[in-house]
Amino acid sequence: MSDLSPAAPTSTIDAGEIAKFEAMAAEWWDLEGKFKPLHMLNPTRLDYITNQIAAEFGRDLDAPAPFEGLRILDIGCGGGLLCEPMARLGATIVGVDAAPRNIPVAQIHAEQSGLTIDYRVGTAEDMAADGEQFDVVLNMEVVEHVADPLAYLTACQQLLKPGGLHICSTINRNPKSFAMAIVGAEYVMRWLPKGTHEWNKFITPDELFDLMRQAGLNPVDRKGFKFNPLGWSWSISDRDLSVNYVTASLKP
Amino acid sequence: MDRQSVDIFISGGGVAGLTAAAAFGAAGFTVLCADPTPPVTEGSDPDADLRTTAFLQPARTLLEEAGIWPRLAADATPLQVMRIVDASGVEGSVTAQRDFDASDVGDAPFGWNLRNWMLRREILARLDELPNVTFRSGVGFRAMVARDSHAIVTLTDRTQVETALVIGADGRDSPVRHAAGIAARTRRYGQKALTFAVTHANPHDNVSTEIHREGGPFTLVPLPDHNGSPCSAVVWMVDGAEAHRLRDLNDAEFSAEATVRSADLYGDLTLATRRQVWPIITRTATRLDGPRTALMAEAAHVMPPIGAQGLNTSLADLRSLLDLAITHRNTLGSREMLSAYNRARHSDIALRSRGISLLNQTSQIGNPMLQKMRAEGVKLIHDIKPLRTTLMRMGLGQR
Repeated sequence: MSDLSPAAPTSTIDAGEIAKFEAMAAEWWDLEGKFKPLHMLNPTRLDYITNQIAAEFGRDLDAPAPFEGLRILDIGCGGGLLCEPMARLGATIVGVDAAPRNIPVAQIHAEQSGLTIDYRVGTAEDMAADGEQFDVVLNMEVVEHVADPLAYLTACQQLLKPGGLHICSTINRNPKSFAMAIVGAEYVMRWLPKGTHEWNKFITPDELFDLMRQAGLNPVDRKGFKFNPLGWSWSISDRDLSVNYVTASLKP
Repeated sequence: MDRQSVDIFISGGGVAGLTAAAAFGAAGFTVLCADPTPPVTEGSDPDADLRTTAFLQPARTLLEEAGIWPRLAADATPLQVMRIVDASGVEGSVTAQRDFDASDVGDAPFGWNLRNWMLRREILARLDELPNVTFRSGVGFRAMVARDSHAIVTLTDRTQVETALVIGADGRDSPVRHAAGIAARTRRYGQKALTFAVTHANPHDNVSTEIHREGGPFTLVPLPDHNGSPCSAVVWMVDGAEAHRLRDLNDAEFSAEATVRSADLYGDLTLATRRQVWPIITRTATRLDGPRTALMAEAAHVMPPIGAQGLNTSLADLRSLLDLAITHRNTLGSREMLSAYNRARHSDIALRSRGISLLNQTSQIGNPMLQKMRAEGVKLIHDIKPLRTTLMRMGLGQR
């Protein structure tokens, strides 16, 4: 998959813009920079994602290119923090982001990393309308930002082949998640820009399972991403879904 | 991709895993049991030995329910008397000897001894009768992902199993325990157990004898006659270096040392099998449950081979898990069922591990003063009947 979508061909970006995007790419990929919280969470997210894909498709993570032959879509790909590891594992990966400025940033970093990734500007709904289909749809920290979660999840379902796997993570809605994700992450720690999240858009795991069923998906798993303030690290918890959580669902 | 679907997947085809497969199968669950090593099922197999396993009463009940016991009854040697001997006197002479008789605590014997290879053969034959149970040998557990709805297990041949419950009965270095991320605490004693069988001049009268001196107990467990001579299985626990010295002696020298260590209770002992050396450890998993996962037997607890507690504790795990599976048939492998299992078994396992560990340490004592106290302790426990019967009932799993 080397052809880039015409939405954002590298050639249309002028030299000054490239320097700016290179700086932004450096920022996206700076472990101590403004996306530090995402980098901290990323190994834990990847751990969950890779194990679920390997189990669902019978792949051996010790093999050189375990995800070879799998077509994976990452919605809200940002700077490519998930796309790049998926490409390294051998997957054919498409990264889509509604924010046009993220795409050249991700493309530049992929080129610097020697990876072939199909990055596009767009939305899940657009791609579903185009009839694209994937073995896996990664839908990480997006659903809490969309206007109509059911329509969005329905598009995610349409983007899957039958038997396909949908991984969706988001933030729970309760007083603790308000304190942690909005007061803590946006105001106290300044991890995220103020106004990144609107608490009333957060979705509880039960609500998300209901929405996925309405969208024609069969939910099979939910786990928490738990932040440990002492170790300053994240881990997967089968019991604590009080703030960040992740789900797996299948298209029948 | 080849993915089979069963109610229960059991990793491990030792006595515990195979018995579990038969018990869950008899209770109507679909079961797949896998073990990377083919089981030894013939006495003539070069890997076979004369080792036996003692089944106490609760374990026999379980074997009956699983439909295994009728196949074994004829070969089972009853254990009527357990004899504890303290031989820490001059030149290894006997300073205390007490018999614990099963008739003190009921009509039934303490338990029954069964030869391991025959046990495995008969359980496998029973599994063949159960259409809902599959045993795969030469294939082991490789990885798993536990979801809310089920677990997906990948085997070493890359085939997959979708299951409501994964049971780790796969031994002291349990791959399932590792995959579930459950920690285990290990205590080492610097000790090893030599296991072998001997023939001897005097009959054993179906008495199991535990001889304490120093460095660890020497236990003779009655076996059926071997080549026309009375025969016993022996577990001889010694320090690590001594174990290697004994293992490397020639057969005649070894038999002579074993005879001395046995305080001559059965006359001359003659080595009848090869010698095997096992490290002695106590290892306890910090919990017995994880998502869609239950640990049992040595995957959950390893104890020194004293007092027939190991396998019987394992079968007590199975008893608890089986009863919970039957009451949670529609929510098999749920968190609620598995935490109930962890609660039910954790304290009993901790109690038995501590007890066995303590017994082992008292048996290692080399100090003459402490040896004398130990001998007096054995007499005391034996001679005060309520104390004796309480401890015997506990040892028998009757609490």
